[in-house]
Order: sequence, then C-alpha cells, then structure tokens
Amino acid sequence: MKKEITCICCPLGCPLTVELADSGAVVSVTGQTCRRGEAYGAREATAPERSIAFVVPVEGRLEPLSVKTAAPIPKAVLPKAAAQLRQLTVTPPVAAGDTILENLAGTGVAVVATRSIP
Amino acid sequence: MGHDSEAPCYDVVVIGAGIAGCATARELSRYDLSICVLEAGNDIACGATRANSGIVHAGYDPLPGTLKARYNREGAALFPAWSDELGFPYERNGSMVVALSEGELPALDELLERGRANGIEGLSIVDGDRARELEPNLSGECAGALLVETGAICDPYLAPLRCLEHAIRNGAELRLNARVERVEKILRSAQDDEGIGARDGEGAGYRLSLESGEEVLARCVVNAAGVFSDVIHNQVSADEIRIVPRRGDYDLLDTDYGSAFSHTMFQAPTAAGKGVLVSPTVHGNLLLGPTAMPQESRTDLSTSAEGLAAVAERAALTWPDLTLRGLITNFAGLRASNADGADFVIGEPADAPGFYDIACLDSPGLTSAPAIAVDIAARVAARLGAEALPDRQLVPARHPEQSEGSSAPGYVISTGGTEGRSGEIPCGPKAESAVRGGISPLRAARSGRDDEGGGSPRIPFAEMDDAQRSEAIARDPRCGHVVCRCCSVTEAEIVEALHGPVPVLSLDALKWRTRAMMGRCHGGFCAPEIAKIVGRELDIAPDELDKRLPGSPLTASAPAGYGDLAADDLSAELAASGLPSGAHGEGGEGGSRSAGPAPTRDEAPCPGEAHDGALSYDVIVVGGGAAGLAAARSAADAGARVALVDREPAQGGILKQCVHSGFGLHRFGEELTGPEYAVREIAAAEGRDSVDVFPGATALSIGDIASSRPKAEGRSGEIFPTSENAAGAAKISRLRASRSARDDDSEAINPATHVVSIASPQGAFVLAAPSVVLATGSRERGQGALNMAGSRPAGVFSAGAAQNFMNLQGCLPGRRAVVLGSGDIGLIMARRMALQGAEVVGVYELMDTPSGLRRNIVQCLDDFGIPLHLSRTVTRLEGEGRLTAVYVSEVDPATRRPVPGTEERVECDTLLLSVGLLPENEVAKTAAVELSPVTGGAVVDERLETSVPGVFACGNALHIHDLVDFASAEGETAGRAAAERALAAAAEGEGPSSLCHPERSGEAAESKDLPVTPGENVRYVVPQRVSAGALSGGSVRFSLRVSRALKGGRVVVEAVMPGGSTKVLKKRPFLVAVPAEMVQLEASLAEAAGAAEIRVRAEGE
Repeated sequence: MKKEITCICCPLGCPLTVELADSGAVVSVTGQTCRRGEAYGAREATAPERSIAFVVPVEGRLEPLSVKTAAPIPKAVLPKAAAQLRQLTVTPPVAAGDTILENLAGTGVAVVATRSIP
Repeated sequence: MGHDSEAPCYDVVVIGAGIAGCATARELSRYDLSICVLEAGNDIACGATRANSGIVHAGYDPLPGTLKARYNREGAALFPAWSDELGFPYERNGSMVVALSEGELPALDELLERGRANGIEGLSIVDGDRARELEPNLSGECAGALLVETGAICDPYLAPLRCLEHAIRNGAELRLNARVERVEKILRSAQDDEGIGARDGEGAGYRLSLESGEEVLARCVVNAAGVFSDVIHNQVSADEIRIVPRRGDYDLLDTDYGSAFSHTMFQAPTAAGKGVLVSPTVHGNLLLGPTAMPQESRTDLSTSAEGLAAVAERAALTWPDLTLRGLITNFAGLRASNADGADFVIGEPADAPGFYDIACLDSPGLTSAPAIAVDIAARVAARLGAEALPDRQLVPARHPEQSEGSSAPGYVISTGGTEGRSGEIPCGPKAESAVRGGISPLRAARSGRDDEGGGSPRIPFAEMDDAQRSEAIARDPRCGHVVCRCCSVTEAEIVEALHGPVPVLSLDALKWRTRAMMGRCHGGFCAPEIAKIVGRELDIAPDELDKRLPGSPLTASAPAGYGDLAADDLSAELAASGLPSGAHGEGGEGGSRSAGPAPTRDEAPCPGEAHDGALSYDVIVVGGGAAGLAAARSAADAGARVALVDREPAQGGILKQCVHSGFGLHRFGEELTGPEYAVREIAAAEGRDSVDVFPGATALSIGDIASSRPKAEGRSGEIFPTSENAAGAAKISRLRASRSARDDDSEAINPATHVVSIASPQGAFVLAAPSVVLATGSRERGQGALNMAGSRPAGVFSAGAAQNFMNLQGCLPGRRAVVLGSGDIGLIMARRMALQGAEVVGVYELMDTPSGLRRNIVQCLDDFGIPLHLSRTVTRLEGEGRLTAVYVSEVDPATRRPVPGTEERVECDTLLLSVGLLPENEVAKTAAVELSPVTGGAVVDERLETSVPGVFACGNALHIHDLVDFASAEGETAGRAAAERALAAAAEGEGPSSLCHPERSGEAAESKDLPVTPGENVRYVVPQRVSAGALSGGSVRFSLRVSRALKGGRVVVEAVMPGGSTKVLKKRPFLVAVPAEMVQLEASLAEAAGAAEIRVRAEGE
C-alpha cells in the first residue's frame, strides 16, 4: 500500500510517497529532500505525531502565557490535549522553558513555557 | 395624572441627534430653556448625517423660492463661523459642476441662472481646458464646468458632535438609545392646573413615550427624526407628510488619493440623474458617490454590489484614471426625501402648536442645518417666552471645562436648566445623571483626568507641529503614545473622547470622534490596543463592547476582570516606554564604546549632540521586529552606534503574538515558537553595548538637518527641543552627555545627516544619524480593500488582529468562523481557533491554488478537518449587530471575478481575513523614498539602500516575506551596509560628498547602477538595481516570486548586453515554485561587466 504525504518538517513541503507492507511496516519513503523527511514520512504513515502551541491564562495578567509541548504527541490525542490545555492557568513568575504541566493527556509529554513572565 | 408627575419634563425635547437636532439643541441652549435631546440610536449622527458627502453646498442647486434655497444660502454662510466657534473641520475647497459633453452645457447655464436667482456669489462658467487646468485629473471629455468658489466640505460627524457638546455644556441633556415610539398632545382641561405652561386655548404640551416604556413631557417638541420624521409628525398632525428613504452608496479611498482632486467635482444633472461626486474630504481621503436608490427599509444600510459598481462606473466619467486600489471602505446612507414634493418641511403644522418639524431633510440638509436651527430655536423661544441668556452665562463652545463644577467628567448630562427658570413651569427638568443604556461612570477617575480645565486639544496630534507635540507630551505623556498608526491618533485623544460630554457607547463612536481605526489598516493594529484603553477607562471588556449597533460585541469572550487587567497592562507598557534604560543610557558609556569592536571609530570625529538637542548616532533603525533587531545587531557588530526605535514597549514585533512554532529553522537550525525566536533576537541586539533601544517610541518622519524638515511634503516644523517631561528630559540629557563624551570637537553635523522625529510618552525628541534603516514591517490588507457589499457588522477581523486578541489578550474572537484567504496567518488562526474550541466552518480562497505554505494546509486544516475551498470568495456580509452569515460565490479562475448566481449563504459569527500583507512605508514616504508599485516597498540596490542615500530598507517593509528567518537575514544585510556607510562618512570627515556610498561617489554613481528586471514567469525581484560595485564584489542575493506555479524548472540570472545578447550568470533548479513561496538565490555578477541590465527569469512547466 502507498500513502501520499506532504512533509511538514520545513517550509519546503516535499511530497512524500510512503510504501507500506501488508503488516503495516514501512517499506520505503521517497520524494523527500532530506533525512528528516524520510523519518517524518515513516512516522506519519504509521504513527503520526504533532506538536501543539497554545496560550494559558496568567493570574493577575492580561497577557496569557505562550506554551508548547516539549515533544510531539500522537496526533490522535490532539482533541483531548487541547481540552486539557484549555483548563490550565498559571501563576507568575514563570521562566521560559519552565514545565507548566508534566504529562499532557496521558502522553508523558510535558507542556513548557515559551516566554518568561516576571 | 399621577403618572405624569413622575415623568421628566422639559421646555423642549428634540427628537433626533443628527445634524438638525444637534444644531437646534445648540441654538436652543442660548436661551433660558430646559432641553433634552432624545436619540433612538446608540450614538449621535447615526442616520443620514454620518453617511453623508460632507459637502457644504454653495446653494446654486435648489429651485429659487424654496425652503431649500433659503436655508442653503443662509446655512452655507453660517458654516465658517460655526466651524471656527465649535472647532470642527471645514474647508472652502470650491466645487465644480462638470459637463461631460457639449450636450450637457445648457444644464450649467441653468444652474448658473438658478444660483444667481438664489443670491449665490462666486459662480462662473469655464471651458473644458480651464477646468482641466484647475483639475488635471478631470476627464478629457469635459466640455465645460460651473465653477463654484463658495463650495466647501466639512466633517459631517464632528459638526453635530461639537454642536451637541456645546449644548450639553450649556445645560442640555442627551439620552441615547431613547427611541420615541409615540408622541401625543396633552390637552389642557379647565380644572387641570398641572398643565405645563401652555397658553390659554392651546395644547398643554406633548407626552412622548419611549420604547423603554418611559415617558417624557415637553412644552415644545422639535422633530428632527430623520427618516422617521414623517412617522413622528403624523402622530400629531392631520396634515400628513411622507418620506421615501433613498439610499446612497459610497466608496471612500485612502488619503494617498485625496489629492486627485482639490475641488468637489459634481456632474451636470442629466435626464439619467444627478450623477455622482468625486470629492476630497477634510481628512484628505477621496470620496466617490452617492447613488440614489429608493428603498422600503428605513434602517437597512447595506450596500449592494450593483450600487457600488454604479458608483465606480459613474465616478470614472469624471476621473477616467479612477482606481479602487486605495479603497478603504464602502458605506451607505439613507436620505429622508419628501415623497410628495422636493422641499424640506420646516416649522409648526397649523394643528400642532409647539411642535416644530425639521423634516424631509435630504440634500442640502447638512448645509442648511445651522440656519434652520437658528430659525427654529428663535421660534421656540418666542413661543415659550424664553429670553436669550447673556453671553457671560453661556459656556463657550471651545472650552470643555464643565460649568458650575459639574462632577463626573463626561457622562452626564447635566443638570439642565434651572428649575422653574421660565417661571411658569411647574415641573422643571430632572437632574438625570446618566444616559440610558449608557456606560456607568465607574471608571471616570481611572483616567487620572481631573478638571484641570486645560482646554481640549482641539488640534489633533496628527496635525500638530513638532513644538506643539513636544508641549502636548510634556503636559500629558499619553500624547506621546501613538495608538492608531494610520491616522496618528494618541492615547490622550482616545481617553478624551471616551470622557467627552457625549458618551461613547461603541467602538465606531470612538472611531468617528478620533479617526482611530479609520485608516487603511481598519484597526487591524490598533483595535486590540484601543480595546485595552476602553477597558481601563470604562471597565467594559471586548465581549461587552459594541462595535457599532447595540448587540455587536467585538469578541465572544474576554478574561474576567478585563478592565483591571488592561489597566495594569497599560501601566506596565507605559513604564517600559520611551528612552533607553540601563547602562546604555545612564553613563559609563564612553568606556564601553571605546571597547567596541570598531577601532576606526576612535579616530573619527563623530557628532554626539547634533543640533538643537538631537541625539546623534551612526545608524538609526526604525522598527523593533525581526528585521530591525537583526539590523541593529549587525550594525553594532560593524562598529556603529545604533539607536533602535520601536513603537511597541516590548520588542519582537509580530513574533510576540505568533505563539506557534515554525520559526528559526534556517537561522538557528531548530524549530522555535515566535516568542522564543524573538527572545533570542532581542538578546542579541540589546546585548550590544552600542545599541540604545527606544521602546514605545513612534518614528513620525525622516528629515534632514539642513532643512530641519521632512524630505517629503506632509509634516512641517523645526527641530524641536527635547522632552519637557522632567524624567524624560533628565534621561535625554544623560544620554546626550554620554553620547557626546568624546565628540566635543564636533560642532556642526553634516547637512546630509538624517533626522528622525520621535514621539514617546517620555517626550518628543529627534535622533540624527548618517544612516537610517527602515524595518517598519507590514500591515494586513483589510476589509475595505475587498469591497464586500452588505452591512457592517462586528465579527470581521484581520487574521492578525484576531491573533492579537487571542494570544495577547486571551479573548476568543468568535465561536463559528469563516476564514477568507489561505495565507499562512489565516491557516494558523484556523488551527488556533479550532484548538481553542471554536468551530471553523471553512477556508475560502479566491485563487485556484492555496497562498499559504503547504505544510500549513496539512497541519492547520487537514488535521482539524477544516475544508479549503479554492476559487471561492466572500461577496457579502449579513448581520445587523454581530455577523450572522457571509455569502460566498464561486470565482472564475480566468477573470478572478465572482460568478453570478453561485452565491451561497454560510452561517458564522466571525470572518477572519487573511488576504495578504502590504509593506508599511509611511515613514519612508516622509523621506520621499521611491517605492515599487509591485512590492509596495522601497526600490533598493544590493546593499538594500533606497533611492535616498543613507536610507536602507529590509524585512516586510521592503517586500513581504514568508519566513522570518529571511527577514532577519535581510536586516543583517541592511544593518551592515548602513553601518559601513556611516563609518566611511565619519572616517572621511565632513562634507556632503563624504556621505555617499563608499564604492561610488555622489550623484554620478547613480547612473552606473544596473537595473535588475523580472523576466519571464517572475513577478518581482529584490533588489531592483545593483551598483557598479556589485559587479566586482562578492555575490548578490536575489529574492523573487514567480508569477505562476512552475514544476521541475530553474531560476536563471542573466546579464543582458546592450546589443540584446544575454549571458547566463547563474542557474538554480527547483522542483516546484509557486507564487506563495519566495525564492532566494545568490549569484556572482563578476561576468556582468558591460551589461545593460540584469534579468531574472524562471523556466518550468
């Protein structure tokens, strides 16, 4: 089986073709112009992942805190992760890189601050 | 009548706060009368008055002997004095009625005759050549014109506003959202001593029932209810009148086009109608319109596609070169035309004594209003036996301090006239303290406004000269916070408007008062900032703040306690604004500078204090976004002393609100979010000792020392003293000391040095440097440019404004969104809203290919199941308050025009526009920098130097980038080149010739520049020229966009020889190239010697 995928690793957006065996194992990835594309194609065809960026209300401040997942999470978990992120609030001070949440939606992936609030 | 005794009672109630009602209230307030103005809408002038041409007609048009002829003549004569007394814009620009064929010439003679019969002076007929001499853009078809010297224009919103403010200061009351449902005569019975002062044998006044159920009593009523004035009239008089609403659609063009005509250009009336006018406005825009379409509805102000097409078509008869590229908005107004004749209906009907009509006030209603007001007020006063108050008891029109120490600045509406002032009134006016449906005056004190009585800054900041600005900022630091960049409106002006005598109940009311959000960005930049100011001042959050009509909230949600949070946020911004802080500006500077990386600097005499208080640098960078930060850093690394001027208190530009990741792959080799990328760039730039950052400081213009004026027309003024604000002055003087520490020997600055005028809350000041880098970024194409028909509901956002509300203020813009345009910001926002829990119905794209990056289609749309519809566009908006639906049409890919009959209604409460970015070059224009019509940015050489020597451009201000990494790289190039130029000039000593390009000398070098032209399949290339030096130097980086999608091709850079032969300099293959993605390549021009031009083209399928 073949899957056609647009690579999202960088703005080039290479068109990838991933060939899968009946077992679901990746046979080949073609169309990429870099190694990251090959890895992305293989993963996207089998167990797609995404990173999320979000903002979280900060107690006593108008401007929310921008946060992101410290690593990609399974794409299927996106709705659950977003729902959990919508419930978060933080109290200042926060430093960029601080962990805001240890385990997002049971993925084991942390949510970290992407800016500092004094 | 126990009920009546509770109802407030006035000598006069004026129904309607349009120009007629407001002008009449003003005139009435000269008499000893209690006055109340009842307005159905949530703002004054929300009917025909606001959606008006703003023309003060000379008076040649009405038929002699009519009321229109009389009041037009008298009203036009009053306008200059009213403008002067009240302080609203009025300009006698003259008008012309043009005959567009020989056959139309007799119509001009007829108008001339009529004008003379009406007693109008200054009329003459000129031939076509003379008309074109006066108006070079006038059609060649023009056979002659009636020249009208006394024709004039005014601001049709500020005129009634100032009238009503004046009336209120003199005791009149105003109630907004007070629709009068019923008017009835109170008949006096023999035993009724509770009458309200009527004479024997007459009605005892009028009882007005409001929609709210309340009642108001009045001895006299002035019916100035616009398109509803017949409804009101017919309730009290058997002599019925009938109004037919006639809708007029208009187009309003950007101030760039206001100078196309200086006169108001009318078309000679023909059998087909009166034609449309083309006129400058008092604010420098160009107005086209109106049409005249009778309609049933008295409230529907939706424009129609046909009407707008007719406006453009007919305006083009006057102005054949008409372009709608500068379109800011379209709008419609309803004239209250008399269905049974052509004249106004003015005065008391025989069967309704004490009831005064100002009805059927279509054109020339605005012009006539002052004269009608004087007349009606005198008649009312005579009936009530009221005397004119002596002047000393009246509050002058132009001084806003409240009379008699009236409390609560702003809202109130006065204590009215003194009770029983006119003797026989048993029920004097109540001291109503607020406006119905109004804003509670909770936050009045927040603004820190006291009744200092300093007078209102009637000169808008945008029109102040430098000295006035300096003085204004010294008085109030908020005068140095420029909130609306398109129209240069300051926080002080916004705060003042919010606390004016006439309450502000909507964002549009604020817009009409201050012009903030009126410009070409449609509030895309300033609306979020203004929302914060409204929150602080009035404790109204964006989800409670109406855009225009009641029930048109700006956003769907806002954080709890928004007002307090906004107040704290603004205080923090103010604290961070103004002048460099920390070591850079606080002394010890000499040491750090001599330790800097540029040894040449120590030998070169470098001016410190330039001239009259200007602070001197080597390079001034305007803009603190990605490109500006990189430019400042690279200029510093090249040895320059740099001033980085940024209008925002926190640097990083738009990156601050781009919380998503995808930045920095090229520059840092990793994927960062916007805030993370910004922090790295800020640290790099601000970490350099030789960079002084001026946060919260708006660069207003670039001029030169020699003239002390901007290079281009527009602003005026001398180099002005620095801040008078004590803290600001002290800081500036420390800066100056540090900056001139080793420059004592430099007395005069090179006359070719650029000076940048700055306004900040800390003061107004001037920076001087041989080199300036423009990194002013871009703005989003707004709603106006799309010319969508329909209503003007809340819920239409540029994607960037929605992003700001969401990511910097925690407000959800809406719950069910349509995105128009598949640009990256729109795609990112579609995902952002979906993650935040909103429903995104779909993305519609005019073109047949997406305009955003492919990966964003995948991860922003596909991941969330959001459909992308190509070759579709939004043609019409629906919704009285908030948006309720958009109409989407298919687009013919060949013509890019909507296909008739394919319209489909899509329900939504939010429309996000992601329809392109435009380089922001207002500052560049003040320096007369040549701009490219294709990119919208400056025309530059390979060093990114513009047509003005020493002025460089980079980033989105130069051309629109897809990737911030490239904008940063471009900033580095510009910063380095700017530093080299400044340092070379310093090394060579002074004198005009020293300040040119190091590798060329003077003007002559210009001619050696080679043009760089876009060839086949290429829409544009930057740079647009290369200097002679580039042929011997290293390689040159070209940035280009293809004009159509190409596969498996290559970009070719070639030298075109004078004979036409070509020499290939570089070939760069690509798999795919699409217009949405910029292509960059470097090429050596060493082989291009002798070429006539460099051409860049693309090949492919």
